[in-house]
Amino acid sequence: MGTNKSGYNVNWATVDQRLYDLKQFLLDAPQRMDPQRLTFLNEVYDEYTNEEPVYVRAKLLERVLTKKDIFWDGNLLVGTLTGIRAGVYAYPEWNVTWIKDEIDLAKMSSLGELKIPDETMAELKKVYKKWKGKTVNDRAHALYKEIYGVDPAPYFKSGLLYEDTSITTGSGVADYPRVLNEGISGILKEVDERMMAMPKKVGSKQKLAFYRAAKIALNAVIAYAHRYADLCEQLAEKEQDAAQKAEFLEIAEICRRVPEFPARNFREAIQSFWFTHVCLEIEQMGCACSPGRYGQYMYPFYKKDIEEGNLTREQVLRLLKFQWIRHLEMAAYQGNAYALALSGHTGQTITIGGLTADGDDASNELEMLLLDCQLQMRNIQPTISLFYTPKMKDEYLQKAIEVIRDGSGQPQFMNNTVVVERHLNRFAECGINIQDARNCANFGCVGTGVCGKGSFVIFDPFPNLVKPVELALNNGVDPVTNKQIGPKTGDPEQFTTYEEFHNAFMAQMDFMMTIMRKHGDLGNTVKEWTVPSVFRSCVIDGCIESGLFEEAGGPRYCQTLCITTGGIDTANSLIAIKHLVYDTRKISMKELKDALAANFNGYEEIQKMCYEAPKHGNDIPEVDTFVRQLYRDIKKMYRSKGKDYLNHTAFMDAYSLSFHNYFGAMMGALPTGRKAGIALTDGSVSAMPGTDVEGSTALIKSAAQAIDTVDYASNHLNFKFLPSALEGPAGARTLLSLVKTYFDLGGSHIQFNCVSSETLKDAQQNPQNYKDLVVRVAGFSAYFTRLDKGVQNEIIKRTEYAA
Amino acid sequence: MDTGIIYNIQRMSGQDGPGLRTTVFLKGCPLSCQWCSNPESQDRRPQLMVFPKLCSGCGACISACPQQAIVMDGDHRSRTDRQKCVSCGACAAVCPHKAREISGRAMTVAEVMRVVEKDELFYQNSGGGVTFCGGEPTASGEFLLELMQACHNRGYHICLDTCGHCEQNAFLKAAAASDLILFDCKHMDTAIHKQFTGVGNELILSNLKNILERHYAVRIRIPLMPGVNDTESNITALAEFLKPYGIFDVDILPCHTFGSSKYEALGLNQPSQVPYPKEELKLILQRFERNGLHTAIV
Repeated sequence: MGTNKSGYNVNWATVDQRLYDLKQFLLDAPQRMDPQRLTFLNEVYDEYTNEEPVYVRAKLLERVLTKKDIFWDGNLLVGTLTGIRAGVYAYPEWNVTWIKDEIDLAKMSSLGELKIPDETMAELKKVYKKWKGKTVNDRAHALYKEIYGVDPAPYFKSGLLYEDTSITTGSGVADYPRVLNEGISGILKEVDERMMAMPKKVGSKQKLAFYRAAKIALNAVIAYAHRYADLCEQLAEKEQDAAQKAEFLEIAEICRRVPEFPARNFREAIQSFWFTHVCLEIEQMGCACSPGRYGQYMYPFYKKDIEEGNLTREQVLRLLKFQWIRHLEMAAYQGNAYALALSGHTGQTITIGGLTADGDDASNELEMLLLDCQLQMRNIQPTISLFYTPKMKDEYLQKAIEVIRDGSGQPQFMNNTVVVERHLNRFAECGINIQDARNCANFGCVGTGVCGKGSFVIFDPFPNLVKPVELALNNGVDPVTNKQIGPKTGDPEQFTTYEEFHNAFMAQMDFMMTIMRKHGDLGNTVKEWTVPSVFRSCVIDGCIESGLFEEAGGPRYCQTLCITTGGIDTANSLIAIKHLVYDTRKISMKELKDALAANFNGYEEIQKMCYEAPKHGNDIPEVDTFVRQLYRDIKKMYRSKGKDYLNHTAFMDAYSLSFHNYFGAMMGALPTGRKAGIALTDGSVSAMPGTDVEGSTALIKSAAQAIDTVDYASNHLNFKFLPSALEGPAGARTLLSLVKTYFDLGGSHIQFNCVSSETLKDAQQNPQNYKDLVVRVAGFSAYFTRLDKGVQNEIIKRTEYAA
Repeated sequence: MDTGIIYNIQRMSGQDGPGLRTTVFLKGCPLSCQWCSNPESQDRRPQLMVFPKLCSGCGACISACPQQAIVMDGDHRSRTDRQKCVSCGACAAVCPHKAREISGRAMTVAEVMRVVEKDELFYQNSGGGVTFCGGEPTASGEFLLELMQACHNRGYHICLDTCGHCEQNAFLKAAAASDLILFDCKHMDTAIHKQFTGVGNELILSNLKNILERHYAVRIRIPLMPGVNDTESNITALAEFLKPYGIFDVDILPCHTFGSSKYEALGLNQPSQVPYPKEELKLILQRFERNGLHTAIV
């Protein structure tokens, strides 16, 4: 293919301008909701009333891929989520309440406000009528009520739990390398063979339907690529410019070849990758559909093209930038609760580093180009995650630090050793081997799994861990909605010891987890029954072999996703109660409750005491032990509710996405000194804002000890620093030794947030929120908020300069 | 000596020697440099610091003060009568906004070590250790030596940040116990030295000579003050002094005013030094280069 000696037939002369225009368009254009999928949804469900759901789902995907509008926007990689630029789909099969209840509310998606054109609104209204009462969410709630006789809605409305059944989701890292190396045709061949060979006896109905569905979906993906081949041939015919014409013809040729057949070079591979990714997103666009170890499976193609002189590194970098634009275009909208809980995050994480199957340092030159790409694009998506091993070369790590210093908060660092150990532990019951355990990546933002062989589409409702504290303080009554949500665990004013209060809290926690298990199992039943994913199941190892799609437990290494929020707020609350009410007896339970009920208004003294009670993140041994024990008890209690939907040991995730905002907005004042409505603490081991006053090393130590990161599925530390602390190679070494120490102590995730000049300006205005912000200059140290305004301005200037 | 007066223990210091360090700030200094950026370090006794911009005017301190030394001023900010104040700290204990603080508290070696030990894994991973800073750490005498011994027993890298003004034998003991000495050179002319720091430089230079002759690891640090010690003649004299010992690298700490809020907090007059404009500093650094001294800004 290709007549030029290098660079393929890309119209390189226009590439930089195109990249600039594409990025500008995304930064300026409001996203719009595309109506087409809604129309297809209505049609397909009317046409296939008598088929198995998995077959209907395949027909829906086929309809979308073969009928949706396609267009040329100048991006060298073809394939967009919807039929309009920067378009967003709705997925009403999961939830429709927002269509009616939030009609006038501004809608935020990944790039800002989302517009819903009239045409789309009309389709949404039709869909609402049709799906109301039949969505995954509605059915899960109805089933719960039918079986247990209790309406579960108040558990979610009060902010005890998040409605996991209301949202679509990515399910981790698909087997991209299989598509690259075998082509979709290779997968189709396996489906055909297995369908032929399977016994068509009683009990095989769902399996047969899955294979039939799989063929439809896989063929639809090929057809989708061919549509772009047709489009580019038509464009070439009309094109006067010879260079552009050649580019169109080459893209057409590529789309005839991939993803149907194996890719033969980097140019084909990157398009094949993209078709796979975009079709996964089209089928079910949600957070956490991640490319995984892109730099590993793309490397053979990269190496070949570089060695044969088909591409230069600069040209590869530009191809990557086109891909970066495509990732940035992705978005989902599923109502305001989703918008608050996800903050527009689309969770397309690329994992770099880690180990090879044989345990060697896997980092390579292509991954360094990914870092360069991130440095130059400064995108919010995709995100990069570096799986650190002590075997990494300094040059590679220095490049990563260069990107961090730029202030994008990327790459995040993951502890490869812990992740491998975690997988050996978690998937022991699936018979994992060390090679698979090493092939690990971030599935979404922080959670991990085995590339190409796992899935976390199975959810339990996501708990707000601090809500049981609030319920225990109020004898089971939710102070926000004034409803009896939890069990009556006694009037805390009558408790004479902390142990009594702690037992009440644990009883509320126990109650919450009972609901989680019951509702989780029913929600997953409904998912399996109504919205099985087809194409995605075809590219996760295990599904085709077993004949089970991912919602039915087909993947080799299945995992439940259960994101916990507010662990640190819970620990800090309990410690404050123990310290103030029982140990020092500074205030009575009644005074504390009155202060909380009044949102501390008129109780500033008590708020100060609450705020100054011992807090996580300060390297205080008693507090660290308390936090670790609490996380351990929570995990044990969750496990005591039984195995997960797929009959595996249930693991909890500990990171927050934006659930700390979502739940925080619904919570009253807390004994931590936090007022009502304020966000909870981010991550799972970060310090409550403004309370880690002992400095970074103290926070690192407390955070590393807070969670058993092997037996939890994740942990999450957001770490702030001033860019001036990172200047030069010495600064980079400082950062690396912090990371190394954190990992030595067992930490599994750390993300660096540059303290921006905006933050400093905010600290200037609101010093009470930034008591911990330390400024260091040789021979001198001070808290930022105490400095003279002129000096503060000087430091703000320096920060702007460094960034 | 049982206890020393510590006014700060700063964990994760990156600028006071190699790697990640804990810096122990000892209170009390024989010098009173006009540009001192940690004025609370000079007096050995604990002192009250008040940060008016953090004061909300709640008045909690007024009722807490046993000396009746605090009143509310017209701007609804508390004001302290320094004549009446005995730095007892009663006000700092009740202030909800941390606008009041007592700088300096007596600590035993064991108490200091309990803090220092916390970050030993960071020292190990970064090639760091412990730095003793002031005030003037050698002014704490035996207490400093005991601390250094305790650190030595742990295998920590020890750094002494000193102005060099200390009785010769005591100084040599502290120097011998250190792995690296950060030695301040403020001025080569004793009269000018005395004018700006309150003491002449004879003892300082003789101590410096002693440790250089013994080939201790020394890093020269110069707090560079406009018009004070940045003159051609002073830089030449410094270079001449260092040359016989093969020292051609110096650290420069350019004048800054970050300490201004501390002067205000202690009720002291502000120092008169003004930081260098960026371009001017470059020219001054060239002066060092011309005299054969390479500079690094810290």
